[in-house]
Amino acid sequence: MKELILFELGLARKNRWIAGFAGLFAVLSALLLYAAVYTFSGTGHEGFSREVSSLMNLSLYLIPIISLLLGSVSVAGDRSDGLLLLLRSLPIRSSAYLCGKFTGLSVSLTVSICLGYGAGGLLFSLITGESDIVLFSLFLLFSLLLAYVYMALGCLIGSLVNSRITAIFSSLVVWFFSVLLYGMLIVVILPLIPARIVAVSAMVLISLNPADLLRVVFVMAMGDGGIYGPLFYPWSAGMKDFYCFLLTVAGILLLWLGLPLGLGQRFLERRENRG
Amino acid sequence: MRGVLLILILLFFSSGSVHAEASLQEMIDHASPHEVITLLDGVYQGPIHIDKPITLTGGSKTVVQGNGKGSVVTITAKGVLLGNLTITNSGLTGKDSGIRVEGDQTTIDRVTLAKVHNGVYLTSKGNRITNNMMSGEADLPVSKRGNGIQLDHSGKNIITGNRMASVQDGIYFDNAYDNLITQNVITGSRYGFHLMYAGRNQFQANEVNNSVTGAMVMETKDSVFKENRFVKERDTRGYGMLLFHCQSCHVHHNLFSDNTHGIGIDSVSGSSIEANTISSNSVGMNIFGPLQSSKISRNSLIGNVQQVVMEQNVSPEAFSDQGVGNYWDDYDGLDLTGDQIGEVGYAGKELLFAWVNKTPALQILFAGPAHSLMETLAASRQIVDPHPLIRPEKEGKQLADAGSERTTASFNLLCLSLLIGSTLIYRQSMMQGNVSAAGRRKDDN
Repeated sequence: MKELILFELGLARKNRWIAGFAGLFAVLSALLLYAAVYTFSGTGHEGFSREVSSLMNLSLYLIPIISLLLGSVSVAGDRSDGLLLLLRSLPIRSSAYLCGKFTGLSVSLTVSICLGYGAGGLLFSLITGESDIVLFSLFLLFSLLLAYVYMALGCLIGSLVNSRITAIFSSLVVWFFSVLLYGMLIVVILPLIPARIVAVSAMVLISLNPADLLRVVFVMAMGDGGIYGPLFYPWSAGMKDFYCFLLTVAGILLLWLGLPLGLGQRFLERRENRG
Repeated sequence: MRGVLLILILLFFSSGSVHAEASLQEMIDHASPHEVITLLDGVYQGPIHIDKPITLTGGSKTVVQGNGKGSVVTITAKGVLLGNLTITNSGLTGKDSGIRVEGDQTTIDRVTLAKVHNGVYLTSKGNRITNNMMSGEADLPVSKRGNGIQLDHSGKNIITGNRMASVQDGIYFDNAYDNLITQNVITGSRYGFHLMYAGRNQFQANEVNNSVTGAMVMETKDSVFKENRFVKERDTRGYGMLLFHCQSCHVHHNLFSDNTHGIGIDSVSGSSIEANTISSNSVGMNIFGPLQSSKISRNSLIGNVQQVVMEQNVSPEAFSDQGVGNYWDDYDGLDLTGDQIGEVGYAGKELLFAWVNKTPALQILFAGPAHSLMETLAASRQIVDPHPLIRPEKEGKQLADAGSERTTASFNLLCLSLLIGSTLIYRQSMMQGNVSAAGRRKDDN
């Protein structure tokens, strides 16, 4: 599996897209700090201003689609190029293949995100002498988690479809559903649920979609859970506790990496057995 | 830090040097009117009762200690002056206080209050409460804490330069009229100012931060709030200021920033909300009820995630005064006539909050991608402000701090380690990956 990861890293190094993403993240992080430090708040920031909210949404739009495309196109590409056939001639299990794929791609995306955030952050703080380390760290973690979760989903898509073009199309559909459509569905569903269980239902519905779950959890961790109203007060109070937050993040990772990768592996195996 | 110091001082003195000579109460009993009693450093046992116009002052380490029951100092005479003391250990319920003032024209200056339920409890008139410090127990739930200063049927007081932390309400006004409240700082409490049946009070240049609500103004008449700062009230139900059933209240040139809700208005009449800076709140302005002959104008609404939420239809005319509206930083209209007023009205983005009224749980979507998309796509919007300003009334930064200090060293270290770490991984992968990728490169070609 180590060879697979390294192989993947070698490929990613040559992928100009990934270098481009690093630049994108640098701009993003510099913008974030600019918004945080120079927001017209009169108190030198802290709160959840419109600038911070816009940047969070920008990450929510960009990072899932980047990760989904990288993951799905890479796995689907391997099949249509016949690499999967080649690998099957070696003693490599499909689970090792998928995990290697995921790890390699994730490491390269992590490198690109960290490079971008590091460069952007350093540049900003050197030029202006200002910073906001808590917000910056939380945003970095938020971006990384988004990238990992959607990378795993991308790998799942890749193992389901046959060609690169189907992979791209499916990724777009999944992205649109998860990032934009799901919230609108909640607007339709929630009013139909009895008032007694509506808060719990909202939490469950939000938890079912990683984009929304990460958004809510991180806003709460920033200490700004108040924006969601008194109904979710216990939840946001919990997220302000460091260990509770850590546990939630671990849970999200376990569920949202384990489930797509496990399913993806089963699909790959079934196909192999069939064909 | 001050608390720790105080405890150390208390520990030091309680270990022996309680004044054994005449007790403090005896000294007061033997004093003639208008006498000045100067106390030495050390602990004096209370509670004490002052029933003649004397001056009681101490040194930097003078402590008057109660017995944990009732109030520590009770003043029933007119014209008493209390200065430079530490007062501690009152009872912990109801009206138990550090200082209970029943005599008119009492002056309380530079008194530190600790381990007391209420700080100063006033039932008399014409008092001056200046430069005092009061800290409650931060560990207690707010419902069990006392108030910093409580005005109970008390009027014509001047309350200036006090610092209060971790109390229930900073200053509680119960049937309190004609008071002047300036330059107080209240932090980490429930309400900074809590007005309940009050009138003709003037608030200027105070600051309330990190509390539930900055100013809870209820059933209040003829009061003025100007140049105050209500910041970082981030509780779920928190407001910079909430006006409820108020008449002729004038709120101008204040700063409402970094709060969950900047300012909330419910059923006011004959009032004005003018030239305030309302910035970086989650919701800038909430309007719950009718605004009768009241004006909201020349305010600057900047960087609030949601600028305004109106739960009842309010006539847009309330949002302008003689054709001058407010500045909304997300206004996208044009000023064609060059009079600094936009020709097209400012339309609010209230789609989600209209639904939240019926299903509060929908607020979980607030500020997310789906929410911003829906607001952008919304077909019809209600005009909020018919005459929006093109530029903010004045620079809100004038009200800001001189600039909070930030340490960038650790931040730079984090960024550097991110850079170096990722570069190392990259190089590592290049060296080892070259070998594995070589085969693939051939395939590609």
